[in-house]
Amino acid sequence: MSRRPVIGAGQLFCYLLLSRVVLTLTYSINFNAHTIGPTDWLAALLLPPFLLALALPAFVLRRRSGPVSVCEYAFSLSKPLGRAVSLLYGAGFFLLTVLPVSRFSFFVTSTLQPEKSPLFFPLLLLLPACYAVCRGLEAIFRLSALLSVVCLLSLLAIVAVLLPRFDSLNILSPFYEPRGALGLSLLLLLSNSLEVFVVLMLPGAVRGGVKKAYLGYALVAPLFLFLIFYTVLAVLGPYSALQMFPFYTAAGVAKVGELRNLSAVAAAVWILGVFAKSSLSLLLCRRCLLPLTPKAARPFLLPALGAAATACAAWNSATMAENKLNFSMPLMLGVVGVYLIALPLLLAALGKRKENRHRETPAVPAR
Amino acid sequence: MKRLLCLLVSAALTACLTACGGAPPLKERLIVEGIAVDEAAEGEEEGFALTVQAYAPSSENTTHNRYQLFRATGKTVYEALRTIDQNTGRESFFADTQVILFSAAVLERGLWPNLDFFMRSSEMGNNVCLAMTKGKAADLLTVEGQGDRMPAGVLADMLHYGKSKVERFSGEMMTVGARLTVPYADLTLPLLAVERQGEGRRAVLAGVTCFIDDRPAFVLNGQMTWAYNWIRGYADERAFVLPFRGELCALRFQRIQAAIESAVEEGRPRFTLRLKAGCNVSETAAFQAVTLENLPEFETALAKKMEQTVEQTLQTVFLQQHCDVFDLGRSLIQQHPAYFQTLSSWRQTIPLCTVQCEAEVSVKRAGQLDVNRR
Repeated sequence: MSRRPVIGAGQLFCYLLLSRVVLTLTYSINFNAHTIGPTDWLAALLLPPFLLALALPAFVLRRRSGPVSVCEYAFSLSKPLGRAVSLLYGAGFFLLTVLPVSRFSFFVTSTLQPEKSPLFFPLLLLLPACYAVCRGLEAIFRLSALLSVVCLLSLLAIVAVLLPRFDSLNILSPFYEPRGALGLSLLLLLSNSLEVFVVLMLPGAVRGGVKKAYLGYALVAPLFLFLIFYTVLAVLGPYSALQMFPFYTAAGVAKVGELRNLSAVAAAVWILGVFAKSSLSLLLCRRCLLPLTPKAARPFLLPALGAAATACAAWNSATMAENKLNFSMPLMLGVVGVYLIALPLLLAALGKRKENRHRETPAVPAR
Repeated sequence: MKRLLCLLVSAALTACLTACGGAPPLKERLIVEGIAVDEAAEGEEEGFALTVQAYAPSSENTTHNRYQLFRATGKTVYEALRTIDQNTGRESFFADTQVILFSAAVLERGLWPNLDFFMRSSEMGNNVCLAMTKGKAADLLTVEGQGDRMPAGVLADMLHYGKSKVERFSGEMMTVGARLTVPYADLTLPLLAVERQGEGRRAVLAGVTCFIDDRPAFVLNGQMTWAYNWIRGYADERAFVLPFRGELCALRFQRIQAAIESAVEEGRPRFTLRLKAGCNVSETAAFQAVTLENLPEFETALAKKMEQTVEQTLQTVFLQQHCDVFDLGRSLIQQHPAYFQTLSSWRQTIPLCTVQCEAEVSVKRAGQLDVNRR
């Protein structure tokens, strides 16, 4: 079933860029078990071909499936397969809803308002996200386009204000880091590049084509990632290894005339980005699980997902320090491997096999 | 359903994002502008004596500086701070803190036990100025203010003085933190003292304290502070007095550019410090001591004096005391990372190093008097 295009390629590009940049802007040692180093900014510059390669399975699937989502295509192959794929991707989008919200809640409860309950901020973010889901895909992407401009301009402004504080002696050569450090940095960046999830679900909904939007994202996003890593290292140097949220710390020392401490701008950018990401992920999670939900229960699906996401985000935020899931690059690489590479290729292969079978089966002559 | 959701969202955002939820009123906050950390006095519980200078909001129009001082002791800095909160009934607020002062005695325990709380606190700005004091740190919080500026603000202005954007001392908390974590750089803190001037008491800069690891080692003063400022690229606001052809000439540096070049020769690091200085001659003891004809000679004499001062300072501080506050190790690791990786300890390698300085000076202006007059 093809959908009427409701969003433009430009809006999709803006969302993908916002999603990836906000994730790096809010980099934390806690989330990634890795201190920012010279190989990170180099890895960001080398990222584009890897991002394009990461999307290849999705585009291979799209060539086979046409302008339908991965779940719809799985249903067209067989109903049990469709249900299994919908459940898997629904769980994947649920994870993509919970993770950014819980990380934001952890940031606020460890940095800004330690006395607040870990339930407070997930509730505050996911309630509006549920409302955003009700407004639909188009509204979320229109908002994301606006937010992406605000966020990227804010980022550029913070970097510009920090330029006088750049210390060239803080920039060390990445080529003398321990062997494997560059590879590790690349893997870390790839494990956090989950925007292909969105690409898998929206092929028919994008006017102007998904490819253009993704190509733009793959070329532009790494430049912003480079800017973030380079700025953190140039301003903080080895001090970044002591900070839980290095970019937030760097923004905190920015000063423009009498205006001090731009960390509030960094926090505001984070909130806006998390709101956009969680809204879209929640919408796509609902879209995946809707065919699996009995008709009578469908009106309650969104509130149920919102409540479950809030509870999971609160739990994850409260147990962030000891919860090994949050440190786990292997887990995220596993998610990338299964959801973004293996499943799309498997579905494409199954689709090709079904097509070949139809071609081989001779047509029954009419009597 | 949508309307209900819309209503819930609006109510939640209005209630939660307008500081209605939990923010204490201003009068219940102790707005800390300056903190002094001393050793607890004899007879007091062993540990730290903390003095905080808090802004005292007033509803009256007054030109006086309004601040309050609170003091408490504790086994740790945080315990002392919480005692102050308890005694005042107000919660300390550090986002406006401008200086943290440590007495020399309390820093003998090491910088880290003194600094840990401040670095952990998310409210404390990472660019808060740190300084060491001669005598009691708390005395610096009672020096004279300037107009509406309270003592802590005056101290912060002094530590940030100058048109130069260069960080004069490695005294901001984030710079101190960075240098504490790496084995190839030592840190400095400005040394402040109280001086009686007439009926008042003012804070003065008494030198630069160099640290080895996290303990104060020695103080740079006199000519060595000139060299320190030049190497950091800081155009000192003081007058530099140079004897020239038997007469004293006073000048002021307008800009200093410093670059460190490192080389490795036969396994030994060699550092060349290149200084480029622009200065104005402000005063000479004799008329026409400095003229257009002898200007090149003057510039050469000044350059030579700078080179001698820098090399003597490096000899004393770097080669003899093994203290690297001049970023030589940082330059080496950047310019020769492969060589640096072969070293087991930078401090043990310092004695093998050689240092030299090359300076270039240009006199920009000599004031209203015409240096062209013959």
